Amino acid sequence: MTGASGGADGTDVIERLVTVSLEGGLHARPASRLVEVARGHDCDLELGRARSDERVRADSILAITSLGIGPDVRVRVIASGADAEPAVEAATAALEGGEVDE
Amino acid sequence: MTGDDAVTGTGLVRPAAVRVDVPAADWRDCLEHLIDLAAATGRVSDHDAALTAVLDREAEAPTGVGAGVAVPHARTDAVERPTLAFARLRTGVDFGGPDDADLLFLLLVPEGGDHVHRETLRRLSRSLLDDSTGERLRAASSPAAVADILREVVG
Repeated sequence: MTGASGGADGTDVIERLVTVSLEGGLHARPASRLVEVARGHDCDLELGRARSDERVRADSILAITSLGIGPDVRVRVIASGADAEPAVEAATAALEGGEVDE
Repeated sequence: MTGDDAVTGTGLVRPAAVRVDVPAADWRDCLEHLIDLAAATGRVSDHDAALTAVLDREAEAPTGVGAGVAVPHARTDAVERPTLAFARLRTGVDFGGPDDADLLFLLLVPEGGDHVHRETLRRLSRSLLDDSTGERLRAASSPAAVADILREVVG
């Protein structure tokens, strides 16, 4: 499920709910893939548990691992900025254990 | 359990596995040292297997996570129960992260220990995010003081 809304400066804010299909959950190694997505795209990328309001920056491994997300947990990916859409696609792939185009 | 060996909370932190002011040449040197620290707790049944597991894991993807921190780890039956070893280096070492790491947290868990690993990493990450815990660890004057801080964080 993807939603889009206008950001304060007119850019799109894209949100997507993703189920973390990673054996062992979102630990340091997949977190570093997500960080590469965040840093490799011109946007602000954030992550949070689907049922929580807490959000962390996706460009910091420590921030991501501080969420303690395990396998089969549903998370919300939020991106705003020029590359929001490809960033959400790449983040989704990283969280679902798929290939990430970098 | 004797009084000296009393384990409260998660039992992850053992003073024998904490060192400060450690000189180290590179990340391999660090991992060997950290495994020696873990072995000092008496919980490592196969030192070489534990070292191999940690080296293999580090080779898959480096564990430098920023903020001067590295979190090398392995899931291995060479350890009897989840065990944390900690080394504060004299100077930072390249662990493949955004900066050199001087605060090294080795986490060994037995097979089936994914949840403990994730929860421990969650607590460590949370406390290291806002800099105050990192500052306290760097300012601590002894391994005992460091062990107290670590117990606050991971139980």
